[in-house]
Amino acid sequence: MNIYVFTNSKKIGSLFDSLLKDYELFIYKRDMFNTSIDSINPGDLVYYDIQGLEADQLYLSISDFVDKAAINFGIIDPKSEIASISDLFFAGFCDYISKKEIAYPITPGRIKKIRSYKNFSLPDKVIMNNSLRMNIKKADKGWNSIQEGKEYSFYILYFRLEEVTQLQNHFGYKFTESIINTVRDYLKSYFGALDGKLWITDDNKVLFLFPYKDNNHNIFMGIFNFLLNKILFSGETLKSPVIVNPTIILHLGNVTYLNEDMAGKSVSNSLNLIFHAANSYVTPGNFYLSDTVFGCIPPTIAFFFRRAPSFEGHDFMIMKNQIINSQE
Amino acid sequence: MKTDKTFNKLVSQSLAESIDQRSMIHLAREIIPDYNIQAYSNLPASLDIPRLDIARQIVDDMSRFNLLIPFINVFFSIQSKGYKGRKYKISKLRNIVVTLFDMGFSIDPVTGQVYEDPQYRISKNWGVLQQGVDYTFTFVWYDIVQSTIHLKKNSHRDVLSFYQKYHNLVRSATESRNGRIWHIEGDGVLTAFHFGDHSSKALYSSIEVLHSLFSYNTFENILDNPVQIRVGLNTGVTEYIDNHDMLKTKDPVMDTIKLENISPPNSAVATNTVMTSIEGVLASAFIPYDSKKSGSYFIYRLQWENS
Repeated sequence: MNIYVFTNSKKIGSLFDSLLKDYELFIYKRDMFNTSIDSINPGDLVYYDIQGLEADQLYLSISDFVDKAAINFGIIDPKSEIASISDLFFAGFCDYISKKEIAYPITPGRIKKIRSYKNFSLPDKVIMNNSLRMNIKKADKGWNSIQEGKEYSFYILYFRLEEVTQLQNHFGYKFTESIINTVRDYLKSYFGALDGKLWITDDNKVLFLFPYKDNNHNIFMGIFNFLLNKILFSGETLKSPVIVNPTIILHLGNVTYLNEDMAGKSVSNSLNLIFHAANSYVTPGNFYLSDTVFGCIPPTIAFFFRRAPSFEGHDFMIMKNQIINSQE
Repeated sequence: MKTDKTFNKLVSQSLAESIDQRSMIHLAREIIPDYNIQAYSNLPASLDIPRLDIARQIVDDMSRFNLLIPFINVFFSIQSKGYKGRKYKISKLRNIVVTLFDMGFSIDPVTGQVYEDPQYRISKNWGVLQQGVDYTFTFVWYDIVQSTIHLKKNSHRDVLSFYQKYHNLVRSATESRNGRIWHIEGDGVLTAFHFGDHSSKALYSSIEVLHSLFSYNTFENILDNPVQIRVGLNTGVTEYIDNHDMLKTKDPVMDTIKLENISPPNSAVATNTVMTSIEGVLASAFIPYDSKKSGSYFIYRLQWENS
């Protein structure tokens, strides 16, 4: 079982911190509720913060889901907007966090009570979600909002082609160089269509920046589809004799934007984390998400990730591998 | 496709400057076996007629029967392969090729054959294949697993909407690789590839369809259950036939459709005729498959690690 919390409040998000030791916890912005709800599994526990919403409408729409999807819903009501709490429970809701209760953390004991009340089972994974702890600096109009020398929140995508030595040994430097150039041009066009800008280039490694905007799920789907289709990319686009398995790291962090010529001089904790992770943490050929990204990915994609070891104080998730060549 | 007079004139001149009268008529009979130049003209039976007159008459006749492009394919082949033991050099070849490009045709780099450029036209026979003539094709057959369950569990509108999406996915994966959709019957779709490295193109198209449906299931499925498909691929020689009912009786097509009986869901199974010259990435992706049925098969499955 996973626990999902939909809230726009950092304070509400932090109420659930004490569950991290025992449960897999995802904290999302509330506007991701509609796009995420269909992919949350039956038996999962979902808390929804209703602050500022019209409670009656919310009650009607969520009660549909309660019956339909067998999801366990809890309501967070920081301003006591729900008139009849008992009606919530009659409709199938399994928890209600009141105005008084938000002064205290949500404890594993409370979840245990819900489990016994609703009789559902839980695995014991822990996922840290740090996006709500960040000081997000949005660029609502994408690159049009970005000014040089100012700090913004970006999705930072690190991409490294791993098969360089293998290709050089078997097919020579010239062929390998042409493949690296093709990869770079392709990524520039592919991620460019998703508002990504090629910021740093270093031989077989590239770094893209995507300005942070609400609901920018296309980045995750774009990377996911790119990796899904790596056979087609390798064979048809690159004309490579081997399937390429790039290393990709995606992190949400704040960076002072400098133009591409000066990008190498930009200093930030986020860039340090990515370069350190790329050099000394990752297993080559995998796709990693940092803890700041977890809260932004749709659950449909989260399903394809599993927990990876921590690094430099950050939790990471790694994408499950597509199995090619299995006789099973 | 009818061709214009200027182009016909260019081909006539090229033909006349490249080969003798007797060979021209033999070449015409490669396309129309009982071709008799006197039957369509006032030309005398003697071969003492100027070459250009014979060439003009042949080109006009071919154009009238929409056979000029197939005739040009035979004509082009004599430069690389020769004809009846003799070698020929085609005059004005460059001009003809440039004009063909302007008319919306391409040249297949593998066979040197002319075919319609899919950017301009997409017809079932690539604009050049002739009815009743044998060609080598790679066929792909797509079939939705337990399609009747989707029909029972979902509204008619949702199922129709999905089918439209599904057919578009197959069309895009096929036509972007110069393949053609030959037949759609509900959840079953037959596609054919002929030009270029047709086996590889067919295999890549099947992978793209499997992956696109996987993305569809993950991100946008409106149906109650995930949609799974089976894919079969087979290469064989058969005559080009416009009529689907007759086409389905041909062995290579029947053998392709039968593969749905051995292909597991979310997989593509190819016969060894498809894999004969396959190497590199596709050879890594399609591996030998023990189907417990006679014959040699290869399979690509879409699978993820569990942990």
